[in-house]
Amino acid sequence: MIPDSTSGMGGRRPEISGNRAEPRVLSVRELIDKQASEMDNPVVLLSVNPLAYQVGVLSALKYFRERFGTGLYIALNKPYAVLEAAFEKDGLTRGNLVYLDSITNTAERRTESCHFLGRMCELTDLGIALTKIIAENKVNFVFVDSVSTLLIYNDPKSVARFFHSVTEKLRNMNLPAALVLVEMEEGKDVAAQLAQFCDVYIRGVS
Amino acid sequence: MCTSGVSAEVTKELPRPKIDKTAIDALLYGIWKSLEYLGKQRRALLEKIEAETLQHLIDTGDIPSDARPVDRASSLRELLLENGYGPSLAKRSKGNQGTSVIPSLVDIMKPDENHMTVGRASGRRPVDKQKVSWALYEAVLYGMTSALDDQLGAQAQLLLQRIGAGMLEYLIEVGVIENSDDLETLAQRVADYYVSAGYTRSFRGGLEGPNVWVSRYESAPYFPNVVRRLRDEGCALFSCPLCLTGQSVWISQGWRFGDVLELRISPSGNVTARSKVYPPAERFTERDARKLSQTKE
Repeated sequence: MIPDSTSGMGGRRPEISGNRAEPRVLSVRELIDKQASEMDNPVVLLSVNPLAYQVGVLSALKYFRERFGTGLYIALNKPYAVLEAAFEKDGLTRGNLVYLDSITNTAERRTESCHFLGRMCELTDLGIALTKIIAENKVNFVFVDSVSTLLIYNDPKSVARFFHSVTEKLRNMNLPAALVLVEMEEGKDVAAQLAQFCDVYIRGVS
Repeated sequence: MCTSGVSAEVTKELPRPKIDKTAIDALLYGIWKSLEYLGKQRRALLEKIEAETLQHLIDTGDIPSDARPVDRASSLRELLLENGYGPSLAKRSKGNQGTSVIPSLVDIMKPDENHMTVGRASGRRPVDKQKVSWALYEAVLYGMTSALDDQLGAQAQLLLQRIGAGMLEYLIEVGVIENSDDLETLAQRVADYYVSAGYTRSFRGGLEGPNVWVSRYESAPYFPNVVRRLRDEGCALFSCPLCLTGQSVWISQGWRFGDVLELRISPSGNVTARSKVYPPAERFTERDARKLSQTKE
């Protein structure tokens, strides 16, 4: 079990701690740990309240980093440069993440730690690039931030089918993963479908 | 929804016209409605929007930047009074006159209770024919977009689309846009409304190629005054209210709107925007899934 050092990040699920019946709100890391610690390569679906999005992502990422080491971060929502600076500020050291960025407005190119695909690329291109990066790098987990972004320009059925294919592939490679989505009306159907092929579904993180 | 190909030749902001109060009412209604599902947490997001709105008013000089808090509050009250928000201001900021307490913008500017219950009562609401300052409209547009981007990043475009649907619902309910089952007719009425409301002098839009939608505006201050600032700040969201309201007509039928591939703003304030658009269809098929599964690991 991974001890939690992150304060102020919570889920709705109350827990009784100690002898006094004081409800304590579990952090995202604790929620994931509670449900996924016994699994070797869990695929976790994390549905986060908009107000908890940033802390929720950071908390989940810390869990995966500490448990599995180097990971592949699929940046669909905020550019690589913004994310890396934010993570460093929050105590995540550089070098333990490889990025696949499909949000920065740039032509396809590679740097040492990031493969830029160009803004809002096709799902097939994203899937192929993801597979190649995993093959070329020593990656121990995959973190998708976020599923919701893909819903802007893809139909929900396609997004669900895409992640079904991706998670199957990750399972073949024995890789754990986190799929983050933000709680919105638009993502409800997709969340329900993704939950069917994820090992753990944590929702209502606020 | 994007920064791609933004070309802004304008060096100065365009003069800011007045705009129909229904446009700003629709925007506020859209914001309130789209965040309703958050319950009590809606207030926290509204406060972020409010803070960014206020900051824009300060940055544009509509509220003096060097003023003491008490003067800022009084300057904001003055701006609201000048634009017909007196009764709402009096009701919602009792006891704060003459103090440094900044009146709650979103609360004061939102449509009155009758208008906030759109769709829940039968019969049309009376249309407010009043014109309000573009400065306020622009500030709310900036505040909404900037706050949502800061909180959620690119995925906030989904919330903006929802706000667009709320704006359309409001404008139909108050009777300034007549509903139609024909999508093109309804979209045209949306464009006509925004032109008559004072958002832009003229607008033309249409498909040019299978996946490219081109919009042309004549003198639309949103682009040089708001979009340019947002892009400079790294915000890639696209919150043109005419677009959001018009797109909601198509989105409801399964259409999807992607990137603005190119955005040109001429010195005279004319704008050409090319966006990706996708008709209702599966964009990742069974065949694509097979192709992906065959990709070597």
